[in-house]
Amino acid sequence: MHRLRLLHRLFAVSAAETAEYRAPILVWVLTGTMPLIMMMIWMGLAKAGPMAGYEAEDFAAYFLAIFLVRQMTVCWVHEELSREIRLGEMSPRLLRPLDPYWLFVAQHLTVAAMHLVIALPVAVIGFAATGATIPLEPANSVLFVLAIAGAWTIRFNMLYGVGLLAFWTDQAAALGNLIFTLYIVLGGAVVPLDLFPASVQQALAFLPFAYLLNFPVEVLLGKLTGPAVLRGFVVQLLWILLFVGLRHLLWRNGLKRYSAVGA
Amino acid sequence: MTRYLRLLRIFLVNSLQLEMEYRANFAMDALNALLAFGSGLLVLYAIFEHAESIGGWSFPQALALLGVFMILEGFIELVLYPNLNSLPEYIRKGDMDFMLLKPVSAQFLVSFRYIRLWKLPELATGVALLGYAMAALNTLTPATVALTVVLLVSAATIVYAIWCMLTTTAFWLVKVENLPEFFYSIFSAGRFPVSAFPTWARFALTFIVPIAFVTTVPASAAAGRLDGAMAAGSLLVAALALLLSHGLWRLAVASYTSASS
Repeated sequence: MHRLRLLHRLFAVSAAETAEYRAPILVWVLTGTMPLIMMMIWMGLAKAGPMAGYEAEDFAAYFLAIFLVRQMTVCWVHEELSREIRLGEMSPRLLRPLDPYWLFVAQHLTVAAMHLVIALPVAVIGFAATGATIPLEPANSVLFVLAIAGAWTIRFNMLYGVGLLAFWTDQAAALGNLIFTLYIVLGGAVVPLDLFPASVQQALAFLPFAYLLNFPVEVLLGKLTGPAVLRGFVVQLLWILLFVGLRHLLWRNGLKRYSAVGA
Repeated sequence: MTRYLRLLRIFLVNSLQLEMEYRANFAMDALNALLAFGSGLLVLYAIFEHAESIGGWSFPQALALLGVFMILEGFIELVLYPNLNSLPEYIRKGDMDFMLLKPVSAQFLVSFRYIRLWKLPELATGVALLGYAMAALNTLTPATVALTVVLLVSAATIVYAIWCMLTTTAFWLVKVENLPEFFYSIFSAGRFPVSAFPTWARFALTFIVPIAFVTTVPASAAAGRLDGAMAAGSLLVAALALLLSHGLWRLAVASYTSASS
């Protein structure tokens, strides 16, 4: 009961904060236009005929879904963490009787909800303009929500770990940028992964990025068979365990090294 | 004019001293440049595995375009990010007062004070790639190179002017400091020739957010497929954008009331 009340307060506070930053959030949503640019490029290429089984409308559906997934899993926690650790702003957070992790979780989830509210109309217009459709079946939708939850948890914990590296190095934020490039290109936000050469695709199965973008989208579009869906969820679970474990390890050891500026 | 050149030299030397303090950044930035190059190449390979051309551009021509894109991206990281992006903070904290008190153009000071030299690897990679593509296309003649360089300078001027106008809005919209990020995301459309976009987007990328002049036009010159009207247009747009940015800047400074008053 106490936990529930705490959770409720956390979300109420972060919702109030988020409402304060409406205008910048609108701009952040608009900065996620890369998938829409790629949609136009691939649709133009597909005019000459289908490419690897993709018609123009298939590209549209794929990239509109990517656009939505990116908005729902928006994450910048490594930037805030590394700044707070470097500048010693972490101290007030440590005085609270709650792991700062949960404050960041509440903040990111409310902002993601706000992103979705703004992004959904954009996507609807995109679907109407391109004539693309999503086979919205109950099974797909439920699995999609699960896949999004998995993708969000992996990405959030991975970047949380990157941010915690600031306890040891001032390159944490730079490492975050590097990972972002990999996430965009190897996750499937520029090229649908099944258009990469087979060797590249095989290599991508061993990296987390495909499970952050490409996997939820393929689940939503109903492209995967039962066993492939199951395998995807198992791999997501493994990445979650790995990154959550890493995060705990980095947090415990990092705190011992932390000494705030001026302390 | 010579005073500004001398100042620029002092800023450069000072930036170098600052950068030497953070030598580890160089490794990271070089790695980032390598990654930008690798991922750009991977995307082109994926496209050309399934298509003969993109918007009428062959593979080596698309390589030249990627080179131009990386040069401009390098310019943004080298000059625009470390300077103009601090403007909203100067305004919020009142540091803008000190800029206005200096006996030089405050716009110049806010735009070129810090040059993040460790970002050079990406720009250098872009230059090398562009040179390689031009050699492959047999366009490596002094005339083409000169024209390409002129159009690259023009492109950088356009990007600078747009970026400057977007950050200048911070004088009025104190809370919205991420408008340049919005432009940056549209700038990524410059990885592809404008001819690869649908008609309405081609129009928007030429006349509303003139990305066409930023990457397609210099790359066209390098690939030896430039049409003269677009080259003249680039210079015109650059001059116009620069004038506009300066006008907006003066308007903004006139309405500046400092942070605490």
